Amino acid sequence: MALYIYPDLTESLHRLWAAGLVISPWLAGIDGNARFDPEIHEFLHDRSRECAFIHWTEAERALAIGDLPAPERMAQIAVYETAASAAVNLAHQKTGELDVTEAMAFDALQRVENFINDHGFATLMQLYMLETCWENLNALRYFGEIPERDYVRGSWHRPWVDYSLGEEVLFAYSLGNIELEKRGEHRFVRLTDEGRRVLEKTTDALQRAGYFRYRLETLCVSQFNLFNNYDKTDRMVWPNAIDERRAFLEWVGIKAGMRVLELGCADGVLTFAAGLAERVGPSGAVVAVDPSTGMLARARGKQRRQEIDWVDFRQGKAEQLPVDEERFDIAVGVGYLHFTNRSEALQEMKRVVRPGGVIASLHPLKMDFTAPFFREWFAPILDLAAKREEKPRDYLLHPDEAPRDFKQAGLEQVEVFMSSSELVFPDAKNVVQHFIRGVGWFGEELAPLPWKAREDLIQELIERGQSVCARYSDNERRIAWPAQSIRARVPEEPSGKE
Amino acid sequence: MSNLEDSQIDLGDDCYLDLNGAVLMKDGKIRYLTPIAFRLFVYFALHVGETLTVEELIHRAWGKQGMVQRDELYVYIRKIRLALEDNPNAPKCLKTLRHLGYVLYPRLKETGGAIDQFESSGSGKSATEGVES
Ligand SMILES: C[S@@+](CC[C@H](N)C(=O)[O-])C[C@H]1O[C@@H](n2cnc3c(N)ncnc32)[C@H](O)[C@@H]1O
Repeated sequence: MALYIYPDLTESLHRLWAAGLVISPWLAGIDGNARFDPEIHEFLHDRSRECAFIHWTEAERALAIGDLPAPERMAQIAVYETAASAAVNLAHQKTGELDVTEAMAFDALQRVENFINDHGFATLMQLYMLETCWENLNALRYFGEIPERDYVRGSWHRPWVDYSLGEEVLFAYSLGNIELEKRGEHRFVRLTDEGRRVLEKTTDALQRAGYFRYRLETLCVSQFNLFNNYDKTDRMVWPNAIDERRAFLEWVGIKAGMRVLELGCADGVLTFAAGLAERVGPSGAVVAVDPSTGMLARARGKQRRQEIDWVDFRQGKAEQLPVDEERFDIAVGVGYLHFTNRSEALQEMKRVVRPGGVIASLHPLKMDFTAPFFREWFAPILDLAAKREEKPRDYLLHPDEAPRDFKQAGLEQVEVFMSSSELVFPDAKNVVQHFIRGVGWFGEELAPLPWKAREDLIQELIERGQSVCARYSDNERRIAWPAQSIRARVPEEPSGKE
Repeated sequence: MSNLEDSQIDLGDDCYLDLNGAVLMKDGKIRYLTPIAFRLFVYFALHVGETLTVEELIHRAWGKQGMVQRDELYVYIRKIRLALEDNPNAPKCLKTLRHLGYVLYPRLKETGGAIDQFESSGSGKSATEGVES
């Protein structure tokens, strides 16, 4: 039973991403409100219907679901959901906002159709079923049971859907993955033992394919897109933010006339407020890179106001730099390294920094969570980890990770400087906005939670924060957060092959 | 804003809902609506100029316990537009407000010239007949 779930879909999933497609993605700002205007819904709906009728043939059904009954509307929904998800994702990528234009909807649909032509409809169906199956079963495991009405409307676990999940209920039921229980006037959906097994296998398959990691990255960048007041909250929680960045630039040795590559520039806080552009001056040049379009828009706004024309902001990630021929004296960044795949990012930087040039980073390190105010405030997250008898998962680095990666990347003269930054927790709303909704601290803990559970937990953090702020003094709500500055040289003689 | 007399709700120029017949009267012609489309329409008509959210409209049309999704609402919005608007593809009365919901404005009849221009611009779907499913 449910055999179709187990063929290895890793390659197909990677092709899906390569085509610019996502299914039911985690994106910031997507909630129970309509994803787009009804006109766009109608367009996607009609075209998905046509697409499914053309492609969901007997042969494709045999490929995708073997001898199982074929839920009629599911094919059309799979096309619709993929196109709708891709459209929202495109909006995020292109504008840093959520508004889907007709052109984006069209583009998204085109990508889905191309994917189907290249890889077959059955492949799309399998991917759709794999991802949504995980999402459905994972939510059921988390909540124990979900009222049928909420399940069918997706309001606890897929609030962005604008269609009924009724057919998915039928399908999962026919596979024996879920059961319904009637109590009083209500019906509840629950996981069966078979459903639990399927969830485990689905989780494994997705884990192997790098799905959770990919989702987390997408979510992270989309959070930065919508993080409008980053520079404000950053200074609220990190009072010495600007001075410490300045000291770091000094330590790295950035001088007038240099060609500098800045990684993870966000809204340009290092570039402008901390004086990177000023140091380099008009005789030098800065190329500043960030994957978040929203952040780049804010950075460019600052640039216009300051009339600095030797900085060039570009969209891109450290692992895949939007740099072709140019070579830099220094590649530098603050608070971005922990978001990257470090070995890939370092290889890329090595490619574009001249021999003898410098690669440097300032980043926060893992901290312990012993401060009583902190334990109380963030208990819902600490408890998630405690249940697994682990420390809470976050993306912060251990002190030995970056130095090891720098050396493994073939960089020389690796130097490390350890410092301690003071973090303060001024008020509940800004702290939660900054750390949780903004920079995505503990994203690894929150991501596996179904949508409503995540939202409830964030709300709880705000409420706890208010109570903690009322009972602990300003002085008590401080933490010394270890930070690491690291710099190293690209070898003069390129060792080995390019 | 709405003007209740003799179980009619006024919707602007040459346009009203007839509550007894559960129909829309526009330019002297009857336009039929399905019961749910009509219920929704009445709710809009009683809140002219107010922003109504998708959730609210779903509750009104199908009740709080219904299992209906947004796509179903979109179908009915379309039905109302087909009955009400001179050009349903460029609605002037029942407007969408991005991320907020919908708002109904009273009908303002175009002058003769403008209407001619409108119709000759050819909008694809015809707006002439009432909708019934
Ligand atoms: C916490 S902000 C740090 C911004 C700024 N440099 C500062 O000094 O505060 C992290 C930034 O890294 C960016 N980022 C995320 N993933 C990245 C990647 N793979 N490569 C480069 N930057 C990335 C985010 O979009 C975000 O703007």
